[in-house]
Amino acid sequence: MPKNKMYPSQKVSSETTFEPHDASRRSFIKAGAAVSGLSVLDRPSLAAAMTKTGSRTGKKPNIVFIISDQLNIDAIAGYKSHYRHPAYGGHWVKTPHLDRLAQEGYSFLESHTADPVCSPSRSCMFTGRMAIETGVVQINIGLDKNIPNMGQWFEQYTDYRRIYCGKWHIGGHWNYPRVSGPRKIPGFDTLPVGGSGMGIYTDPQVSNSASSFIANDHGDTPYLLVASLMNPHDICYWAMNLDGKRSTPQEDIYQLGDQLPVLPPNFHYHYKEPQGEGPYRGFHSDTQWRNYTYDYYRMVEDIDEHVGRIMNAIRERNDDTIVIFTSDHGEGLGRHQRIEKWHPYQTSVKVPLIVWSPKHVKPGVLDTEHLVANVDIMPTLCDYAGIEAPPLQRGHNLRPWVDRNADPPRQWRTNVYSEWQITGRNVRTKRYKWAMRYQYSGDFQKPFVRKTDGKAMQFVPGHGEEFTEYPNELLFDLEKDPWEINNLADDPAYASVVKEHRQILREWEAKLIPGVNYDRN
Amino acid sequence: MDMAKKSSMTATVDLASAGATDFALRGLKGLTEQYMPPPLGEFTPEGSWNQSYAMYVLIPHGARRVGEFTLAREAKDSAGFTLNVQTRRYSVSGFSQFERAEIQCKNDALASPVSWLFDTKLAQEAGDPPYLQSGRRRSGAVRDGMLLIGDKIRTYRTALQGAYSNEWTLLEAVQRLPGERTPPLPYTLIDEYDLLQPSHRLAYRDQVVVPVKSGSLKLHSYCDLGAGVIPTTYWVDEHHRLVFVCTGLQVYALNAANGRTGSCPDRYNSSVGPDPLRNSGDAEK
Repeated sequence: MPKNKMYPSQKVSSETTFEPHDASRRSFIKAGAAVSGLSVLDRPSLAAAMTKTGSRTGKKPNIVFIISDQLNIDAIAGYKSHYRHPAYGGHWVKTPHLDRLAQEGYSFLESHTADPVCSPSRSCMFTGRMAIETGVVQINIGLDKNIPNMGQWFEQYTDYRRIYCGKWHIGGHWNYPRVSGPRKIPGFDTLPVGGSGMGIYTDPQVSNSASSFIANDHGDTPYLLVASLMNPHDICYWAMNLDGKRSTPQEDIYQLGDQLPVLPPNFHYHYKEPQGEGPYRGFHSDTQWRNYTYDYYRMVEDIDEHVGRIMNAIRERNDDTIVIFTSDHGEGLGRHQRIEKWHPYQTSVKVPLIVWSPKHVKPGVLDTEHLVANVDIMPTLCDYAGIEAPPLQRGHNLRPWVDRNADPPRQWRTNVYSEWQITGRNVRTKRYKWAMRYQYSGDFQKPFVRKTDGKAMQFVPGHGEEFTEYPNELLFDLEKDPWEINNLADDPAYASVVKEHRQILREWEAKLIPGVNYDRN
Repeated sequence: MDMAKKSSMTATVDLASAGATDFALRGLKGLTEQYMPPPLGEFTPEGSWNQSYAMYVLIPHGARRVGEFTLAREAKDSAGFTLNVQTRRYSVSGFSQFERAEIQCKNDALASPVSWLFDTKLAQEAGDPPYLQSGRRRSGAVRDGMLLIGDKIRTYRTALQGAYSNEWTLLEAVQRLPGERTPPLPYTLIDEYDLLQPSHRLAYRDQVVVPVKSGSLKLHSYCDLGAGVIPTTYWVDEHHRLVFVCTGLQVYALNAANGRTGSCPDRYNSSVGPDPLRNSGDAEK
């Protein structure tokens, strides 16, 4: 068995460690250049960055980045024409504000998270790097200090005010940032909301504070405002709190009858999955699953109104504002009998992504063609701010697709990649979705990133490369099988497809540079 | 007339094994064991009064107190009343979100708001100025089938047809409803003070006797279903005074009324699961 390493060997010297509060552009570039083998002079110059989309003296658009948590892409009613099956969420919700955002904006319907878990996904959004690189491969881990977050990058290169309001969850074992001290996000000022991990409690604070900030803006300098909502993530506590503990199996707890959503067609499935995975066994009847789904959709409607409140404030201003709306990951909702996220299936990995700006963005587009990922957000927002993105971006600028007057490139990526559950990997091509999971040893928590004390990663060499452990792969033909019911990975007729996807993974992972300096307070 | 006199049957509930109709009450388990309601007697819902409530979020281990609010009703005439609402939600870094509203309401079954002023801000104390541009004052009104939400610059108009109510005025309305004789009430919800959620329906549900630390409470419940809101149950006592509200993962409990104070714990425990907020720092006031 070959002993190939997953990632190129590299060493980051202590002198390149980035300290957030004495940040300089040079320190970011130096860190990036050191690990990539580039010299500082190879990086784009600041002057070049400033001239890319206009001079620094010109007024840049305000940027409002709205994030929901655990929102399925099909749970937006306005997408019903695309998601026609009655088990999709759009048939069970009223989302007038998200519908309007989609009608007026550009929706990517082939949009993916880079990792379907809260903290890893957010680390990718705010850096443009993969979770294995940011060091945030699980929840409650802080970003690698060598990698600048969006606020730090904007602080260095723009005159944007940078305001964060809501869930962060990539600073360590905490969710909501403080206004000062070790739990303040480097690069951002804080609108101090929180006090509970529940969206039902904190989301009104987020939408009220964010919309007030927008309404009170004087317009002298542009701002980057992040409004990070918690719901429909509250559904996680439904399972912990309300399932068999508080309702009986056949109990239609709200006596809703046919108003309870139908179960998905892949609720029953029969194939084996990569190690460690399996259906959720906490619910004991179809009715409990349907109650769970009903409440999830009410949480989606709750998020919709908070987005509406923020958008109303933006529309009232009628100034030059870019809005990006997304979610960190999706929700299981009984598909493959899953709850929550964590897993490789589409319901967990696909996320909404809408870009909105009456001045800049083509309205009403439902883009089903282009594969995109949430690592694309960082380079896109940097472009709107008129600056170059940080080094070693894994995503691409979406602006050429969404802008009214842009000239779209003739070629676009043919695959997107996501990590899941630390050792899981997905490769999505236009037609197929392939998933595998590396074998590993050691403790489950944080075993896959080296700490600064030099402890080595603990992947078991070769297992992922050789795929000798069955079952270790999933392959779905998404054109024929959008609910991912028929695993083709072991079908000889698809051997070449599997081989091709393995190769894509190898080539992609050869680029990646594992994070080394995580776990900030 | 007290509802207890109108009801022919009540049942004492064991919350640990409560049946289907008591599903929502199980969210209160642990709270009720430690709860002492304010020492109150007769109540005139149509009069002038004030009530203070503790706000909790449910966590798998029980619940944690995260905020508070006060309702103050000022009776005006047979046509309407004024409801003042002050809310404080504890946040991080010593801050809270403060909301204040003065709402002119109809005396109808849903306490339909006619016009209102409301403001919000993040601050450390109620008298402090808003932190980082977070303060905003707006007005709302319902006129000619339209919801009007405005500030000093402009007004938003949204169609609002048929019966309607409001998240906060509902807390007053359920205290004037006639218990099991209440017909189902379909309406559109004005959530918080400015957002619409359609297709709601408030209906009487059942009656129970719940043991609390100081004895027991005879409670009647109403359940609200509709868009954007996890089904919400309101419990009023035999004098029609609102005692508990439970919506999904959030609970309100009456803590004081007309200056007389009860006892609401800072947190309460149940026997279910770990606390996801433990050590997260997110529960800090």
